[in-house]
Amino acid sequence: MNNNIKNQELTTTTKVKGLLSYQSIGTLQQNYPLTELDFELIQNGKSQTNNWAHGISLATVGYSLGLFQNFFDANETISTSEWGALGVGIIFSFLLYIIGYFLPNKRKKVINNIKQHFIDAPKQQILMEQNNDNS
Amino acid sequence: MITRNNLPTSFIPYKTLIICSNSLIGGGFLLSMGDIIPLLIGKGEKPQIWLQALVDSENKKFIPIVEASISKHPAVSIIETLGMLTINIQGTNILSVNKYDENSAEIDSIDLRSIGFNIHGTKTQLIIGNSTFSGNSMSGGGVLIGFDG
Repeated sequence: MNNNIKNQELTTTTKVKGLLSYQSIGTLQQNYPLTELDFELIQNGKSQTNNWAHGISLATVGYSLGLFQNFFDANETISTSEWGALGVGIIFSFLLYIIGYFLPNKRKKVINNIKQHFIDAPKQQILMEQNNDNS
Repeated sequence: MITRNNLPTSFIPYKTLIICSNSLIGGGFLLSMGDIIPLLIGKGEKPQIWLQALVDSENKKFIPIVEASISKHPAVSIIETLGMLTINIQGTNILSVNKYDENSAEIDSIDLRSIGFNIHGTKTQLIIGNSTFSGNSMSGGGVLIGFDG
């Protein structure tokens, strides 16, 4: 049907069959060969400084919860040394986070390797087949 | 996504567009897929072409590969020579449009098989799926070929 339409004055849209070629263009780039060790380092390879910062910040939060009830209780006061301990905890954990951010660690090294791989690996444009479940 | 109700603001249709010997008079489009218009050719100093590749026919997903005759995909190159605009993918010609004057242009050759459509043609005939079109005309801004898919 409608196989050869020639020299006609068309007034309506012609519906055709077999319009799709199931091909299209795509981009191909070499995968990063991620090993289990790389994955482990991404998950747990942060610097020791970061772990200390976590520990101190958690202890500071726990300590501040202990002071919390004193803050609202008119009969209890928070001493200067208690404020001082809280402040030192906050400052230390903050400083350790900052130091950890700038210090090299294994996690950063793996992530930088992955970044560099995708900068260097050439991209290639390819013609690709689409899924053709309807054909 | 370019649809019949969402055409680029800078798109101005030619009064006469000849597509491989078939004439679209008074505006109109070669092809629609549902509401989507994959190929637009409009007026300009050089023919203004918008082309979308079908990347997922099941979900009707398109990507723009040419917008206002500017390549939007690294595999697509556009060459302009004296009123003739040629679009290539990986060095293979997929569309050549020849501007005749301010109001008319002609598609001399087309081959959209690499971007999802079984459409190809020369100056004398247009082959779409299992149909061949030659010497036909359509007036009034309609769509020559439709696919509801």
